[in-house]
Amino acid sequence: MSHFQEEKLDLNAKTSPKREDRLGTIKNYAGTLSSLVDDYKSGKALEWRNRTFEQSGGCLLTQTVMRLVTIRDSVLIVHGPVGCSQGTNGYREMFRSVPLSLGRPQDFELAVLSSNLSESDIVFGGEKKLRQAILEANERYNPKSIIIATSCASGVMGDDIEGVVDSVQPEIAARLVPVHCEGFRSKINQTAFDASSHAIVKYLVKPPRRKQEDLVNIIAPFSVTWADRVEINRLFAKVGLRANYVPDFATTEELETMSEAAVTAPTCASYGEYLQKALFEKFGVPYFREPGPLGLQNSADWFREIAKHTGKEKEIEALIEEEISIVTPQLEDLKKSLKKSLNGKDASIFVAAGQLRIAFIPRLAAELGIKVAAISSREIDPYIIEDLEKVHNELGDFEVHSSDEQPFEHSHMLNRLKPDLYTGCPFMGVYKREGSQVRNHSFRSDFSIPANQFVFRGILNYGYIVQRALQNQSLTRTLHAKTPSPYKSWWYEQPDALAYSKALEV
Amino acid sequence: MANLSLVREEEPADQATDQRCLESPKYTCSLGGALAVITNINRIIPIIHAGAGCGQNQLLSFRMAAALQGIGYISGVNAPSTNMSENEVVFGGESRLRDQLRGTLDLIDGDAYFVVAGCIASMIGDDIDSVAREFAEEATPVLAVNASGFSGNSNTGYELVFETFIRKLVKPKPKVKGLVNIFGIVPYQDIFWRGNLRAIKETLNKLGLKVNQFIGDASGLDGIKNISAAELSIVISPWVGVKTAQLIEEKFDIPYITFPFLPSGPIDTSDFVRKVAQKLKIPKAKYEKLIAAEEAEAYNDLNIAGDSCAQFGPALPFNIVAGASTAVGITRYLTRLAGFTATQVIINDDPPEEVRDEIIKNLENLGGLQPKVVFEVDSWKIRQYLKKSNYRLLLATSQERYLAEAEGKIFLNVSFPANSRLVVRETYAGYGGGVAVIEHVLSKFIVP
Repeated sequence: MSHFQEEKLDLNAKTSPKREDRLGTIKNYAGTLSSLVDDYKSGKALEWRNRTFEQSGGCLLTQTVMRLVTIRDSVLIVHGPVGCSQGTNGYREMFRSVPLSLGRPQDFELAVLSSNLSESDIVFGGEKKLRQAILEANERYNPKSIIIATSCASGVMGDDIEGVVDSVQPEIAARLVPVHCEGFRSKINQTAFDASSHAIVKYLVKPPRRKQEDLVNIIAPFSVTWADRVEINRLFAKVGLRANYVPDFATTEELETMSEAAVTAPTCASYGEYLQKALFEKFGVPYFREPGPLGLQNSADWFREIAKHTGKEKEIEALIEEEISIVTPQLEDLKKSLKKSLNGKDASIFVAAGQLRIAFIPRLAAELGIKVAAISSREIDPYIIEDLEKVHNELGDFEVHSSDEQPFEHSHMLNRLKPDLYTGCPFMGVYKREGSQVRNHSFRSDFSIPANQFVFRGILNYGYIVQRALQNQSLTRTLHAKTPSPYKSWWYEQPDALAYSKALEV
Repeated sequence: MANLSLVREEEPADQATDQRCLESPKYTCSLGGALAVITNINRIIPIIHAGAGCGQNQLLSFRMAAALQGIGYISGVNAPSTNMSENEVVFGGESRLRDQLRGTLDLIDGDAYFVVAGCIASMIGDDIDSVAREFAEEATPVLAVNASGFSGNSNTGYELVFETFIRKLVKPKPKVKGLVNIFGIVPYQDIFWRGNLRAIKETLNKLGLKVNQFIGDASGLDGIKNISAAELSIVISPWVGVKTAQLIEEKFDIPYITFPFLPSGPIDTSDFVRKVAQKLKIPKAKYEKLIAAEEAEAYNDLNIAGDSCAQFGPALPFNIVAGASTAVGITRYLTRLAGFTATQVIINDDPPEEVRDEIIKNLENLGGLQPKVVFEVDSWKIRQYLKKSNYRLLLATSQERYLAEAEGKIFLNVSFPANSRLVVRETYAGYGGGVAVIEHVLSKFIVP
């Protein structure tokens, strides 16, 4: 029974509410899995705290553009000063190295324009520049859609984005999609996922012309690599299903027809939550929120959820059996060899990731014979605690932390817990310590087999990387020994990773 | 005859760069430029007073687009930031900044702390200087600069940081004989900045000089304080760093010279050495001896690589897309010494109007065809220029990579944004810099 009261979304509103208001999301937590679950079950709301010291996190704009820049026949306009588009620098070329034989489309452009707000625009308003950018984007690419991402500057000035959209839309064929991702709008930058999804559903998704019973929307933002897609496609083809990956690298049409899918399946709880709900509420597309397809059991459950909505129960049961029978002997060998590389002891890991990975990697880790020392999520939404409760029942207790990318807190926890392995976001940098470190997932254009972590065979790829990392810790150890840490020693001598967090004064 | 085939193309005057939208522009904002400098001065700790994503958007993106250079001591997502949100927009951000500064001083081990304020702080009028002054009694200096994103580009941010150091921290010092300041090489905007500064420094060291390079070495706060002890400031850029050097001249009576492009290979590096040596009145015999030895070695390098130039790339036609300093430096070496043919030079870092003629002048009469010179920042427009040009080799940013490679042309990433190359020590500056370009270029051609 869910304790979490969900309200219907208002898809006619200008944009989505912020997540701290809609869901009661937090991004400061340190405790145990059991205390998190118990508090939640006793009806205690997650407590909001502010940090008096912070390191740079993401904002709504960064979270929006790094995904929507990849829409293949769209142009992204970053409506802000030139620096707001700096995060898009590498994306135009990103998927170009994927071989055509692995399904890369031959012709596509990923284009991003900055409206390049300068000092005089800040004085006189940025609407003229936005209009100019839309027309320029339309003329250069004749795109199917133009996504407009707003910035702090445009928000503080109060540019009338909808006014510009309404006045320019009749002049051009490209569908204009304004996303309200002003960086300051929410302390939970994952609000950007809601704002993007809101805009996509409001402006782009069309009512279904027909139901496509074999089509599965797969929430695929950023952390789904090309190799994951290739593997999921392989399995889908075996059971007569097709995947519609959204939003990363989708076409405008693929987004428009999300309403026709049989079901929407998750790979990222944070990204998918609003989009899945919006598609259900507006177009009746069913969805499931858990599990994520990581490890054998989770992958089997994930496929079974898909089966429920596609009528493929028989085919999918056969697929699950076949995959598990292929993977299991290799997994047994891998487990033995992992254990051997640690002289018989169980390896322990610290998992820092988004909500889906922190909730479902523990089960994958258990299948590899690895113990979880702690999980650290960027944010905690109340609903994910229901998934964590199941994890707790199966695997027992471990530490839980949430920080929205605060390396000083991770560093504190790593120093105290001393796990064998830290597995985190590929961007965090190397934690200098005695112990290994690997990235959770590779980059999205990575098509090599080791970049596949999802569905059944992904556990082997993950395991082989972990094994190699555990066997050679020279990078983290060398940097630990030979280069300085920026944090003063008292930080590690006091016990509280949340020492800089304080409850909000009311 | 000099200008026979020279065509200069750029936007009409009514479309100055700050008046138009830009597709994938080849620089970032003032805040990014300021952070690029501060995070690369040893043990100077940045405090970003800006929207929550600004630190990540600049520093994390530099980690990718600035030739994959890692975060070092404190940068990337480690960088302290006030992560301003709605509360600060409504009520002001000074109190948040005060807490953040206290926390940073207590937690992060540094020799100086530098607040860099972005768009929000500037638009809501936070008085960052007065917050910084509240920390005047601390053992370490606390500085602050307003580098709002709309105030300019990366190069603006670079100058703003040095201007703040000079106005608020650097005190007059007795001159140290043979000490020179180097300006104009902007971290990340020049992806080879580490190696380039090292090469320049090593060359000047051989001349008996000591070099204040500030960024990318261990000098840190002491290096900054020693700005006023120099005998000369050397600006290696057509314009970036000139303001800084002028301010130093005004405040500390230290003259400056500019060398308006990256000296690459023997001819230009020797010119550079002569210019510096003459300004500092180093005896001619001393610097000519150095030049003779270095040149002999550099020409011998070319002798070794030259056979392959003739075999694999005779009079190889190339296009280059880079900042003015790099584009001019590399083009001059390849055309004047290695027999390559520059067909088009696209300057992508928006030099001010008053230095554009000089940039063109430095690309004239190099031997071979006269290249077409284009000033453009917008990636789409740059691609249109490339499509119309004849080349076999493209030296450019990673944003042009697949345009060239789709047609089987050879591509080498030499400028920002550089997502397809990891650069730590590599350099195209100095006596060995030219042959390094040839090594990297021809290694892409040679097929067993």
